[in-house]
Amino acid sequence: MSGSSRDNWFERYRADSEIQFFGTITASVSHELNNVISILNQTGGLLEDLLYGAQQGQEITSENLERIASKIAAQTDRGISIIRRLNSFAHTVDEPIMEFDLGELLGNLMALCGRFAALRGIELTDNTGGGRITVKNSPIGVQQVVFLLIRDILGTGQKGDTVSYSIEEGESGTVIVFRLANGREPELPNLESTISHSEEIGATIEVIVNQEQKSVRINLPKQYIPGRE
Amino acid sequence: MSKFKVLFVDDEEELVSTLVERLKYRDIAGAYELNGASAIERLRREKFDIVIIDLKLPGISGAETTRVVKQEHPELPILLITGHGSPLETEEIPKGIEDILPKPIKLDTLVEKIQTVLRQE
Repeated sequence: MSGSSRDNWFERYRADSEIQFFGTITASVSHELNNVISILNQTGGLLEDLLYGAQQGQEITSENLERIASKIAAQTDRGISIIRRLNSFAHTVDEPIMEFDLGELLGNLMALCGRFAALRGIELTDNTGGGRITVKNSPIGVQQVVFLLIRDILGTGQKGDTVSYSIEEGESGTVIVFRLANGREPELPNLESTISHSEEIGATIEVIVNQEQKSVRINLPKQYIPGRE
Repeated sequence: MSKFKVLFVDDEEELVSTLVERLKYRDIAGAYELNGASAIERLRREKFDIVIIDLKLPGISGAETTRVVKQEHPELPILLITGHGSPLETEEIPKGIEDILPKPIKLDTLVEKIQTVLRQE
């Protein structure tokens, strides 16, 4: 991909390899899966404790067994959900450019990023509405731009901040809009608007930063814009 | 009567609540807080024999929580928990801790570690 300036934030981020991006995401996901396994491990241990108690003459109540079964079911569902998201994420590199559901892609990525936001005490709010929005672009390129943007916003944000995201459809393309809000004067990271396009795959991703409105728009035009700078 | 009183600081409530429940069967009284700020506050009003802190905490980090607790309660032993097999180089390990335990935690290992640390006190 080429851009308007090698010195701007977008190009700096694009210099990060996709491998690093995948590494960051999978490290976070493995951490979350480790938590799921830890809970299942301790819940199994709790069942053993109850059985040991029963062997010593203590009563096992049906409430206790129901509670444990419910814990196991909840964590199993959580684990399945994490693995589905990771699998879906991994398949976004199958084709350099393809048609995909932007809402689903964004929701999946935000769920994977959720831990980073939670650690900073920042809330990510989904205002996409949940409908299917089909775009044709580079799914991995879109995700990388969104992730790097979120990483920067989280880096400068404070506990209690909220970052909402929505999708706007227009005649010329689709736009992902991020807005920052909090109880103090919101701060956007020192970002610059930029555009990135790949002649090879014919996809354009444009980032428009509005410091006054505290918003960042990621524009995904329907048509490849080869000469736009 | 419990032998020891342990405070867990970890945002995975299902995990720490289960650990606390299991420790009861081993005559160890447990309690938990889900973030560093509430743990620091609780330790100001309630006495514990040992604190077990997850390095990755929302808001105030596990490392920062450890530093504050150590500053306010220098004699209180602290064990750290990490989700990684070993702490990453990028993770700052605070001074004065007794040990670091990797997740998933084996309860027998944890109990043994608690007993070893507290016997040394």
